[in-house]
Amino acid sequence: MIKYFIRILFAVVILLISNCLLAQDDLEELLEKETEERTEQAIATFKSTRVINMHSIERMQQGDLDFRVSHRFGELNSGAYEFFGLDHSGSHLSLEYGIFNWLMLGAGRATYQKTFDSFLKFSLIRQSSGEKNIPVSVSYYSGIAVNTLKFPESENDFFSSRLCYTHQILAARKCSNRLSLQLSPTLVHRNLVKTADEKNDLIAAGVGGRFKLSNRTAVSIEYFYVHDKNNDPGVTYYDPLSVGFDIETGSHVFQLYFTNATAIIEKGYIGETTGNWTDGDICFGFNISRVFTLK
Amino acid sequence: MIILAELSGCYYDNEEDLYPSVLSDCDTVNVSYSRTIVPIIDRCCMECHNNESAPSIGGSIPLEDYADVKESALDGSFYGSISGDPSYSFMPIGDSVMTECEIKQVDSWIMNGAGNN
Repeated sequence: MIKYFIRILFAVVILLISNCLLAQDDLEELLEKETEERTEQAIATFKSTRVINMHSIERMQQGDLDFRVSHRFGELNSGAYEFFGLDHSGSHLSLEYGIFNWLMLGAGRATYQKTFDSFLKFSLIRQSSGEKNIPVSVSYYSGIAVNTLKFPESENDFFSSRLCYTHQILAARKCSNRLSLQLSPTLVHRNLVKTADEKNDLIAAGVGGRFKLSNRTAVSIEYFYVHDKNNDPGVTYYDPLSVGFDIETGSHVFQLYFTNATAIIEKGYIGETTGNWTDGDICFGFNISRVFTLK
Repeated sequence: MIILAELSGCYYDNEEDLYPSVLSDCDTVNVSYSRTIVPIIDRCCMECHNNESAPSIGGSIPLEDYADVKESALDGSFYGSISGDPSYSFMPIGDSVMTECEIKQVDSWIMNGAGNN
């Protein structure tokens, strides 16, 4: 009786073990399958929606509202009486909202030519690793600017003459936890320029980068090559170059920088920069970004 | 903003062709302080930059006397402000508008030494 019971018990144990082994194989296959299917998207390529002047590929998350204040002082070589440019300043205030995680809308107003501006920025591709390997993130930026300066006396006064449009493809790669780089081919269209020889369309290529010094701080640099810009008689335009330092404090991002561009909006700093680094036409500026979560 | 842009569209205009009357009759040769510059300043600047108001609403920049106008002219701030140079606050503010011709006349006067003529 006892021998018979032991035999039955032994058979049951063997059956149980074999089932476990089969299940283990299934479980391992399931785990491998899950690991292969996981794709990780790169996040926080830049600390803010701007590199310095230039839009980065970052957007507001859905339901987040960014209140941005940008300030640009006068030129350092204006001397001690002008307090090295601090007595003169231009600013830009804007509100930028994440409609979806991939789509952002912004509107603002700059003191530069009393300009109102608005833009859309949306994500096309996200840098990913894992099952899907995508080396870069790409976003598209489209902006409109309206110059509201009073027109001098003239028979004509067309609203269209006040408009400028900017289109950019923003392509960035988070190379490592510390280093991110971005390339931004750009088209700026001005409905009205000064002379018949001056081109309404400006083609430019922006390059920018950010290197993290710590979790909260980073240095950034940005340069725009503007093609065929010097065709306004009597005026010499230069490519804008900016060097900056970012500080993140939880819900604020502070960006402090030096630049030869006195304008803050795309139409101004890309197409109308008259300052030259080698002549000391360098302006100090800062951006402050405060994000509010509305949802 | 998007609707306004859609309604306005994309143009390839320039000031020489679209706004020619602004500069065609402008005399920038016979420009003097008393006959040309003073009337411009009286109309566009005196509301804030007279000697009494300048310290409070005129940014401490009086433009009532020739000596003060000359100082602002020669340090670049006068022309910089009226020409829209981003290094300066744009002037005039309020309802006054300085015409393109008047801006060029001020420029011509300054380039010729900003004399008390």
